[in-house]
Amino acid sequence: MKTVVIVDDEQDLCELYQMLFKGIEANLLTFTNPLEAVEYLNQNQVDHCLIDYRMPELTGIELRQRIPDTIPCYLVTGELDMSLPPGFVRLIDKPFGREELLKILES
Amino acid sequence: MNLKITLHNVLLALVYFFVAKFCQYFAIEPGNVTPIWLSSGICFVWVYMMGYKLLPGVFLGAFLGNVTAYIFPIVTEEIVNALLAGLFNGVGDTLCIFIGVYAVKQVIKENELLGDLKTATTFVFVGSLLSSFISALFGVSGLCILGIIPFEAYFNVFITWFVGDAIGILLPVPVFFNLFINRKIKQVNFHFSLIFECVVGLALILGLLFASISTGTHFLIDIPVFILVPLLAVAAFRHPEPVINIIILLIGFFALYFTIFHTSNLAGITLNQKLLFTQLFILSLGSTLLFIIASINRNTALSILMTRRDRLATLGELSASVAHEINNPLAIIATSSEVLKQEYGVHGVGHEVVKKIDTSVIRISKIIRGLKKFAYQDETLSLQVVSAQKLLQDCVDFTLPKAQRHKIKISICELCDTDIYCDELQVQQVIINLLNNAMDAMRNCDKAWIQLSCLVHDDAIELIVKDSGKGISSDVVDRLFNPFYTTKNVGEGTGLGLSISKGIAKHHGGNLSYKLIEGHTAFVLTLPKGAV
Repeated sequence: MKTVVIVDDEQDLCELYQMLFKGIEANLLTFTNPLEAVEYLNQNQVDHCLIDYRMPELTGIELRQRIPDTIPCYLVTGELDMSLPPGFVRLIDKPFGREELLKILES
Repeated sequence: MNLKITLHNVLLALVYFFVAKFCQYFAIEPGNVTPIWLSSGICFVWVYMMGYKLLPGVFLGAFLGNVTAYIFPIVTEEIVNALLAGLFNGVGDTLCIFIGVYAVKQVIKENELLGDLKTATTFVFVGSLLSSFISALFGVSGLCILGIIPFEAYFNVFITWFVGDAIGILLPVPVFFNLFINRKIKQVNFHFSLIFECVVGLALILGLLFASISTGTHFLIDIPVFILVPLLAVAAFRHPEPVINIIILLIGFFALYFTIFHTSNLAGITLNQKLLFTQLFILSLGSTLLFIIASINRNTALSILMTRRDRLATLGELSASVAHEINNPLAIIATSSEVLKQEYGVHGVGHEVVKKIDTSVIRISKIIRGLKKFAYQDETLSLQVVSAQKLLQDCVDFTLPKAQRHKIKISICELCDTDIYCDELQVQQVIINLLNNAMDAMRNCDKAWIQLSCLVHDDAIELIVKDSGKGISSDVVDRLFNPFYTTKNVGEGTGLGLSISKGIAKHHGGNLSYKLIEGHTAFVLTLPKGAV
C-alpha cells in the first residue's frame, strides 16, 4: 500500500481529507505542523507528498528544500498565475478531491 | 480665409481698438504711453484659442488703436507720419503676440498655463517680457524716428511701454485662461470664507488708497503695499487659482489707477517715476504670484498622482491577502461538501442542500478570482506615449528623499531619448518598486548606488534597474516573483511588490526578470516597442 503525506496547517481540512479519502487504498498521513512533517519525511519512506503553499511556519517551497529530493511532491495552492517552483511534480488546485488523489496514486 | 476667421479677425480688431481707447485714458506725458495695455492680453488668449490666422486682426487693431492716438495732437500734414507710426506698432504687436503664443504653445500641457514651473516661466519671461520688449522696441523706435516723440524721451517711453505691455499680458491672460480655456473658474466653490476674505481684502486696500488720497498721508499706503506680498502669497495657498488671478488683476488695475489720478503713495518725484515704480511693483508681484500658483498646481497634480498610485497598490495588496485568507476556509467548506456527498449518497433532501453549498462555493471562488485579478493590476491599461527619460526621472524624483536618507546615489546613465507606449502610472509603479527594493537591500552598505538605464532593441525596450549589490542568492532567486515571498522583516514588506510588478509587465505584453549584469544585481523590465 502506498503512503501519502498531506501537509496543511488547517486542522479542519486535514480531518476532512481523512474522512474524504478513507475508502482509498492508501496509507494517508496528515500533518498540520510542517516542522513535524519535515521530521517524519526525513525518517520514513513515503510515495507521495502533497504540501500546502502558504503555512505560517514554513512555506511549501521551504519545506520541499528540507526533505529528500527523491520524494515526489505536489504543491497545493489557490494562487493564480503561479509558476511551478523547482522540485515539484506539479501544482494542485486547492481544494482537491478524490479524483485528484487517485490520479496521483496511479502515477 | 473663410467667413468665420474673417469675422473673428474683424471682431478682434474692434475689441483691440476699444480696449486700447479705454487704456489710453490712463496715458500720461510724455508720449502718451499707456501703463497697462490690456489689448495685448486679450489678443494673446484669442490667438491662442483660434490660431495664428487671427494675426491680421491683431495687426489691424494695433494699427487703428495707435494711429488714432497720434493723429489728434499733430497737424494734418503729419498724418503720414502717424500712419507710419501705426504701421510700426502693428508689426511690433503682431510679432509680440506671435512670439508669446508660440513659446507658450511649445511647453504647455493640457491648457494649464500655470500647471508647472516650466510653462509659467515661459509665459512670464517669453510670453510676457520678451514679447513686450519687441513690441516696445518697434513701437517706440517708430515714434522716435518719425519725430512724434523726442529722442530724449526714448528711455522713459520705452520702459513704460515695455512694462505696460508686459503687465497687459501677465495679469489678464491667466484670468482669461481660467474663464475660457481650461475653465477652472467652474471648479471654484465660492464658499463664505473665500468671499469674505476677498471682499475684506479688497475693501481694505481700496479703503487705504482712498484714505491716503483724502488725507494726503502716503504713509497709510506705503506699508500695506509691501505687506500685500506675503498676504497674497498666503492667499495663493488658501484659495483656488482663478480667484487669485482675478485679485492680482484687480490690484494691478487699482494701483495704476490711483497712481495716475491721485496723489501717489509710492516714493517718487515725478509722475513718470511713480508710475514706473507702480508698474514694476505690479510686474514683480504678479510674476511672483504666478510662480507660487504654478508650484502649488504642480505639487497638487503630483500628490493626486501619488495618491492614486498608493491607493492602487494598497488595494491590490489588500485584495490579494483577503482573497488568500478566504481561500482556506472555502477549501474546508468545499471538502466538507465532498465528504457529505460521499457519506450520505447523492439522493434526497441532503443532496439538494449539498448542491447549494457547491454552487455557493463556486460563486465565492469566482469573487476571489476577481479580487486576485485586481491584485495583479488586471485593470484596463491607459496606454500612452511617454518619454523614457521623463518616466525614469519622475521615478527618481519620487524616491530621492529616501535615497538621500540612506546615502544611496541614484543616477540615470545613458540618455534614454526613446518613447515607450505604456500605462505610465503602472510602469512607474514597477520602477519605483524596484528602486525601493534596491534601497532596502543596500540600506547599510557603503558607497551604495543605483543606476537606471534603457536599452532599445528592434521590437522591445528594456528598462534596467541595476544596483551596487553583488547578486541575489540562488534560493531566493527561485522564489523572487512568487506572491507573499519576502526577505524583508515582518511588517516591512508584503511580498507582493515583485509579483504585482511582474503582473504589470505581463499585462503590457512584456516581462520582468532578474539578471546579473557585470556582477551586479539588476532587474530588467522589458516592454514591447510600439503598440501592445
